[in-house]
Amino acid sequence: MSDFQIGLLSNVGMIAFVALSAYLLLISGSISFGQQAYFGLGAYAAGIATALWEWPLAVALGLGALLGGVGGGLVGLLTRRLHGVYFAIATLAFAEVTRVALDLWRYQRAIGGELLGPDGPNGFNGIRRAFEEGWTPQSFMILIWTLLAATLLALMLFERSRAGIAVRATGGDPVLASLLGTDVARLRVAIAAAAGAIAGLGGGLYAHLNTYIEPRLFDVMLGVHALAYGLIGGLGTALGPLIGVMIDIGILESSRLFHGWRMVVFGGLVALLLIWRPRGLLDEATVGRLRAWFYPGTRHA
Amino acid sequence: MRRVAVAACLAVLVSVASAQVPRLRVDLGCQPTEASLVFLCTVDVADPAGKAVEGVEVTLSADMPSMPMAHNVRPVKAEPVAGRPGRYQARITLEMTGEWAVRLRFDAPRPDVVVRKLDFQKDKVSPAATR
Repeated sequence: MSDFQIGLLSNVGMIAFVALSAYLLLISGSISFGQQAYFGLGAYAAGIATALWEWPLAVALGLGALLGGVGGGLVGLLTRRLHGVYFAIATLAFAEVTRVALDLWRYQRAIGGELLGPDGPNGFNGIRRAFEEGWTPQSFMILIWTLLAATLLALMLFERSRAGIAVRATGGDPVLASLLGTDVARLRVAIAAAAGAIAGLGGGLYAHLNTYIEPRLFDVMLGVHALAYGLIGGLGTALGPLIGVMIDIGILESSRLFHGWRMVVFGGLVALLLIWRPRGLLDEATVGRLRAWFYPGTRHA
Repeated sequence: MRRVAVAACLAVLVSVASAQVPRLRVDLGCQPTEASLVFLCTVDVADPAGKAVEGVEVTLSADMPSMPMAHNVRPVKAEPVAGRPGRYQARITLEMTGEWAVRLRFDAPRPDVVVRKLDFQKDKVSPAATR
C-alpha cells in the first residue's frame, strides 16, 4: 500500500468518527453543527495527556473520548428542550465558543528541552507519542479502522435494541415517543453524550496521527461536512455516514476528478440528494428493503 | 495487577527515554516552480551541534488547517542534493494556494515527525504568521 493510500484511508476513517457522531444526533431528530467541537476537545485532551503528562496512548484516547462525551452531555443537558433550528444554532454557538477558547488558551511545559503544549492560535505541536512508540502510518491506519469498526458495530447493535428503536421513534415524532413512555429529554442528553464521545475518540486519533493540531482545524467547515456525510450516505444505517465520507474523500477528492471544483460538486450533490432522497442514499426504506431481500420471511421494526 | 503496574512503569520509562533523545534541527523552505501549484521544498537537517546530517530519509506531506482531512496531498520522498550535505529536496503538489501544515516524517536516522506551517502563494512561499 502506498503512503498516499494509507493517508487517504486514515483520513476517511478519522472523519467518519465525526460523521457518525453527527449521524447519531440526526436519527434522534437533532441537527448539530457543532460536533467538530468534541473532535477538538478529544484531540487536545489526548494530545496533552501523552505529550505533557506522558500518559500511555490508549489511556489518552480514552480521555479524549471521555472529555468529548462530557462536553456533548453538558451541551445536551443545556439544550434538551430545544428543537430544530434553535438546537442547531445552540450547537454551532458552543462549537465556536470552544474554538475561540482554544484560540486563547496557552498551557505549555518544557519536555526534553522543547516547549510543548497548546499555544493559542499557534497550535499544539509535537504530539509524537504514537511515533515514539513505534506506530507506523500503516499500523496506525489499522488502529483507526479497528476502532471505527468497533464503533460501527456498537452503533448497529444499539440501533436494533429497545433504546435504539426509541431513538428513531424520538427522531420521527418526539411527542408520540413521549406518549409511548420514552423519556425524550433524558434520551437526548444520553445521545448527545455518546455522539460527543465518538467525535472525541476520532479527535484523539487525529492528534496522534498528525502530531499537530490548532483551533482552526475545528471550525464549522468540519461540522458541516460531518452533517453532510450522513445526509449523503443515508440515515437508515450507521454505514450511511461512512458511505458519505467515501463518496467525498474517497472518490471526489482522491481522484481529483473535478480539481478545484470539488467543493462546488460536493455542495451540488448534497442539494440534489436533499431534493431526491432527503434521508440519503441508504434511507430507512431502502435499508428495510435490503434486509427483507437478504433475510426473507423476517419481520423488521 | 502487578502486570499492569509493570507495564505502566515500562511505558513511563520508554516515554522518558524517548523524550531525552536530542532531536534533529530541521529547516524547511519552499518556492514556487513553473508548474501550477507545484512547489520545490528544501529540507536542511543538522544534529543538535549544527553538523549536517547525511543519510536522512524524509517524506513530505501536507494538510490544510482550514479544511482538515479534506485534502489528500500525495506524500513525496525528499532526495539528497548533490554537493550539499544535509540538504534534501522534494516537489510537492498542492490542491490550492493558502496556508498548509507541511509534515515531515523522518524514517532515518531515527523516526520523528516535524510540522511546519507555510503560506503557499503563486509567486512566493513564506512562513505562516504566528500570533
